[in-house]
Amino acid sequence: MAANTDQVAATKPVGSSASRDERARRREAAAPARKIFDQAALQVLSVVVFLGIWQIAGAHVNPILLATPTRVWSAFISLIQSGALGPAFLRAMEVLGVGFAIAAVIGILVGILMGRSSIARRILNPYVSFFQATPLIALTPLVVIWTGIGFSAEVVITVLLGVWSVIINTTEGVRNTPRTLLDMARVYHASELSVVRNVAVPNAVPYIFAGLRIALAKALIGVIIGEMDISLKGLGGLIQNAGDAFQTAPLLAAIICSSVVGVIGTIILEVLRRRIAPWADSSDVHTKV
Amino acid sequence: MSAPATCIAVRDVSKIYERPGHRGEAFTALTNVSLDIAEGEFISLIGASGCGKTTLLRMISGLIPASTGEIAINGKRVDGVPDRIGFVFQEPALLPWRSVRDNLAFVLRRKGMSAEQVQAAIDDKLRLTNLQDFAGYYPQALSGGMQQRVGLARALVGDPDVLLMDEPLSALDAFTRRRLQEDIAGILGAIGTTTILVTHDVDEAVFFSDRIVVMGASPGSVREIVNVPLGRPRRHAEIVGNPEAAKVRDHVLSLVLDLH
Repeated sequence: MAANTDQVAATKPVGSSASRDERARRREAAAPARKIFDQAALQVLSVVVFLGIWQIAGAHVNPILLATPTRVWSAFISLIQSGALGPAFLRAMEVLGVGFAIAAVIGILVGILMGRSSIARRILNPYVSFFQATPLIALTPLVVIWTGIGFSAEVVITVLLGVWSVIINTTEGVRNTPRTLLDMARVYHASELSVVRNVAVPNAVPYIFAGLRIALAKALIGVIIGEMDISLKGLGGLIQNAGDAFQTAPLLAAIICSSVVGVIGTIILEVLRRRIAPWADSSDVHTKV
Repeated sequence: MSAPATCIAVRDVSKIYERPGHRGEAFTALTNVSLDIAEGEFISLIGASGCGKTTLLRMISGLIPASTGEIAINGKRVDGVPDRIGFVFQEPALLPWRSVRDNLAFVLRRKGMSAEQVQAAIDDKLRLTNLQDFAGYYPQALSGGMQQRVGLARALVGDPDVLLMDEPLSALDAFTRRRLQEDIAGILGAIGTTTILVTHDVDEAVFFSDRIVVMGASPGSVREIVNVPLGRPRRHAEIVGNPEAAKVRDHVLSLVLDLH
């Protein structure tokens, strides 16, 4: 771009005003940078306007109905100072970490099995379709009856919500292995284990990570609802308790913290993907639920 | 000089597909093919689409079973994929997540081979196919012609008895194709592997083959087997303007185009 503008300037007739040339060149060189700045500025402006409207609207309604951003911020600070937020945040991360890891391992293994074996697919598909379509959060009372109140109940809920997306997308990715690659593996006598390890699973990696991203969002719902319904601990506990006390500001502060949990999880997943499979950009994969 | 031993024997082979939902209406892809291929011979299967040439190649490779008849390689009946087969696919069929070297390593059966012997075998075939400078490359960084070169190196790395090629050059531009044809002819001339090539390019068949098996469609069958009375390996410069080659070419073309 810069080279281009130089050329334009260089071909100008020698006699023309140097200062005008200089200004025109600077304006052209600045154009792409300004474009990026404009786009970023627009986004910041959007957030600022949204917060402004929220602030003004919040100031004119009953504070129980809607807390203003400034009150949410001070609630956030006092939650940190009281020592309530840190442990709650870590607990939610812990439930999510354990539940999501279990969902990922089970989901990938079952997905590989269903992707490679049409018999397994026929046997398991009805259940996967059924549970995928069922609002499994409704199983919460039953899970508590099974496991009792506490950490493990919430982990079970998290797994139940997250595992299906991983299964479905892993199955899809394994089944999507190109025919010629499978023929190639057969011609050269690759064992089933070798086909899975070296052909089918690497092929499925973009699908697996796409499934994991969806599963992460669902698992986080499981974590928060689990904490709200079961132990009243963690971020879900903060949200539930604040709601019960009609304290809108800490409620919203805790919700925003829970979305931070989701963002951190998504970033970790993306870092992992780049580490494990730099060739596999899942942005162009058609994902299923 | 005694006649070279038969390497591949195809006896009365047919391929019939039962069509689900069309009871009794089986589809005959190939009927009654018999063919003897001598050791070191280069055979091309040519014909319009639907003549069953790829079907025949896949049956010889053991990827699909014959419906009737029998195929034997070096006296051993083909039942499933035989040992020591090299296959070059229409698409390069390389593992995108493995380097060129590791794509070759994937197919090398290393019974009793040390790590050094494995690497030496791979290096040997990379040199043979002129890929020694690209061992660490990933397939997507290579051009289509280079990818098929890797496909050939992979097919040869196990020192196969039989090399099967399914239209390996059909996706390449004319110049790349001709250069690769000469390279492949030179390589096969040096190692003398028995080869079957499926192609729909008459010039390619004439350039490579000892014999050209011209096939016809509905149902697929062998129409005529045409001798190419020229020495191998050939170069394009020798083929162009060669009256012998022109005669074969015209004859095969008239058969393929059904001009009789």
